[in-house]
Amino acid sequence: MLKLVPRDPDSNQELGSALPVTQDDLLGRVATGDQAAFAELYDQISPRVLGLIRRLLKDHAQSEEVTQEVFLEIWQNAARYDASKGGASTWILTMAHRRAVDRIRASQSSRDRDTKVGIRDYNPAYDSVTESVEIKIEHERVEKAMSRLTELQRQAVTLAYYGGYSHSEVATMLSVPIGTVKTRLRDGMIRLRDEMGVAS
Amino acid sequence: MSNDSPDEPLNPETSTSTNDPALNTGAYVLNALDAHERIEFETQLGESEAIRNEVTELTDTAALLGLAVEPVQPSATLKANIMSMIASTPQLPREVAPVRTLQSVASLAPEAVDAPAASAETPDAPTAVTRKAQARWFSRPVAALTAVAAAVAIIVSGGLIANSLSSSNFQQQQASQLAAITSSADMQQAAPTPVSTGGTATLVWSEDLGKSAMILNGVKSLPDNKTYELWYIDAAGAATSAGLLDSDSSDKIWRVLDGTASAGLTVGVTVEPNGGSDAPTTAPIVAIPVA
Repeated sequence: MLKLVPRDPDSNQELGSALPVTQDDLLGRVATGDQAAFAELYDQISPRVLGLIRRLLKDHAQSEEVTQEVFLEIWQNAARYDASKGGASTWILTMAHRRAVDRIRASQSSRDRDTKVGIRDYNPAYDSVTESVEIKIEHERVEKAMSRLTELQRQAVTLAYYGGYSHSEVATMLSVPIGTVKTRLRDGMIRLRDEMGVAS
Repeated sequence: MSNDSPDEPLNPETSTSTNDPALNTGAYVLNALDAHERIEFETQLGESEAIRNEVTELTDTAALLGLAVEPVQPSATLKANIMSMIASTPQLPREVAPVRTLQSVASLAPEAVDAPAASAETPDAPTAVTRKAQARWFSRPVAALTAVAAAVAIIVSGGLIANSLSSSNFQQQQASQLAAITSSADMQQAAPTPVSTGGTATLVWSEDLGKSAMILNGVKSLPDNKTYELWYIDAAGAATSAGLLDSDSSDKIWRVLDGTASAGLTVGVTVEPNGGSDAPTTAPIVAIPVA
């Protein structure tokens, strides 16, 4: 059964400077082999991880497999995570995105994902009805930042991040040179960074 | 660099011909580079503090895009699978060096990760920011884990198939009980113990819950007319059946034991005729005390 889960307001604050303290603490305990802390961290963030992975892979069973890989990686590498260097959710979602893309690239069938999926991915990152106010706010924040991008930047970033397409695939889909895609991806991400006030 | 206007014209010809890493930061954090370019980019990353900082910030930005995606609740069996896997999966040690050389990044072999040589090398007295960016960078599990991830994927697929084929009430109940044990505050776990016929056995239990689970890793698959049977054995040597555990093609099989786990008992596994026995008919292939 798939259903939307409202976000626990305590479990996920913003990224950047105000990091989700509880998840960072949990990850610190996981690093000492604390399986109960791992279970709690899993409860808090697994819907986020699965949500992101499924957005890229579409297939639910495969997405759960990759989610499982990601959490095993979290378990194995928890000692190497340092809360002073970035939020737990950034670390985990970065890993999740990478693993989802790895899975797409590794599976030949994904090559056949039709272009229509990609085209649909332009806009509707935000078109679903959401049940949680917090998620809605995050959507709006990202959507607002996205609206400041040029059309080409927005399409390129959306296809790459939410579609999992490589720059060469994006270039083909948008009929522009690869070099142009790379610069648009960078320009777009820098603009998003500035619009959303991300600072290291 | 970070103040560049997004609309500032950049020359695409230059970017493709020289593959200037400065232009690849966006594609890199979005995982849009191909494998070769990704490695090349990571190798070049150490050369520029500005680029490292940009990658750090854009990584955070990409994660915000991820947080805007609607969450999806995983199935109950996923948690049980993961909890049973971590119960028998060792954790990697903390990295020796917060800062390491480019060479060690480029090679990224798992065995290179803890190379002692890396600890001493801090080539150019990095600033705090450099150190932060490098440490952040190197703390990310990237290619070093490819082999592990690949191995895991195999286990995982097996586990998921097993679960999806038999998503009976029993399976669901077992899954939630295992999750309850492994996430209980007093969860204890015996070190993996060799099984006399091959493979290892891991016992996890919670005295608060009075439940235990046996996880068998890499044990041999039994013929159709045989089954593994679990036993609670008391101090006097009396064995009480705690349920059957059928072997299948998967590498890892597990079961939450029937009955009550308490200190002083020993959990044993025997091979019995199909359907199980009232009392053990063979010697245990492994026995682990609930201590």
